[in-house]
Amino acid sequence: MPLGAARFGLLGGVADLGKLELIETQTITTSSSSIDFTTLNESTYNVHFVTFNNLQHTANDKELYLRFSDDGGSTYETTNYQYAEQHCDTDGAFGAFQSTSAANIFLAVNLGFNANESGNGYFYLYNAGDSSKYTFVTMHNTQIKDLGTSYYRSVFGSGVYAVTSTINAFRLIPKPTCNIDNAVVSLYGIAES
Amino acid sequence: MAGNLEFIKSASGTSVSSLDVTDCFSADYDVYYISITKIDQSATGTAIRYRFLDSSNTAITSASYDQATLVMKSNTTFSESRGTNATYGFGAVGYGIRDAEDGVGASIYVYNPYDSSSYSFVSAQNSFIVVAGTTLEGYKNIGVLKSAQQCNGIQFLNEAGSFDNITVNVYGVK
Repeated sequence: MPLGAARFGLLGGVADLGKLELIETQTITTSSSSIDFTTLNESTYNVHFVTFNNLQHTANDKELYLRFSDDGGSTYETTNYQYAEQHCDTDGAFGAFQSTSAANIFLAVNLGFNANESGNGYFYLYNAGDSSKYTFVTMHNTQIKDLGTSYYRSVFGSGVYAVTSTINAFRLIPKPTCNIDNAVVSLYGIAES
Repeated sequence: MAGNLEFIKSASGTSVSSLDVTDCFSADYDVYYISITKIDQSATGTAIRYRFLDSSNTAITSASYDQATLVMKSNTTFSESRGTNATYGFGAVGYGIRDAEDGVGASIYVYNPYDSSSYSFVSAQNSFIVVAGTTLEGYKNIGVLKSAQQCNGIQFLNEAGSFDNITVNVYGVK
């Protein structure tokens, strides 16, 4: 039985906790080069939901990337991504991030690293466990950007890993290279029955 | 009782002109989450539309749908799609979705559909490969049925042609 999905009536009156089923939460409190999720239960779920909050890098003005693995996290793919994302900034700068041939999908861009300059957001993964389909992403974040100004930014959009494969792990990694000081990241599967 | 997403129903169709997801809205919830990961269209380059179903599960075809969509493409300038008083909703799912390996990811939230004194609102985000090429396209969409009436379900239909395959999952949000 999937984690969190207790059925009323079968277990002596235990409540059904709903179909947003927590798979794993990772809490980062020491400097880490990446955050890897290597258990997706992708054969169970067509749709995954991931939240991240209070994510802080060890250096200023870095991006947070999302990458996928089809070998359980031994390696992460660095080609065949596309993304199309809109950024909305309180300093008036609205614009697009887009690529037809990328090494990753963005989850945060120009993230600050001072106190309270955190990245927060969510993304959905679709068809990760379907070896005959590409793996799609929709995302939306809320962050403080720091290009010396600490303005507030939101980024939303979509991405794809355009290779038919079974995705069984994913990585959150800051680039250009730095580490992640703090973060709470939770992975859920959305059950379909 | 703890709550989050409560599964209501799944509806599927093969070689259908439209898919009615009947009796998926009720007085039990104000907010619904709909996920779509499987769609194959028979005709290329056609839009996927939706209509709400009334209390008799009949599609609402009045010119009462508004929508606004930010169209985000990986290969060209982003654009806007907007419309008022249409006979269908648009932008929640996608457009011209290639079949075979490409697929789609769509998350749709529906607000107040069963409330007979409220309009029914939609917010959606999707990600798909457009049929004309191999480039990514994604929508950030809002929509509304400007008719205060009870809606029991939702219909998905094509601008032209049919669905070779379609699967829709509906959840109540507690």
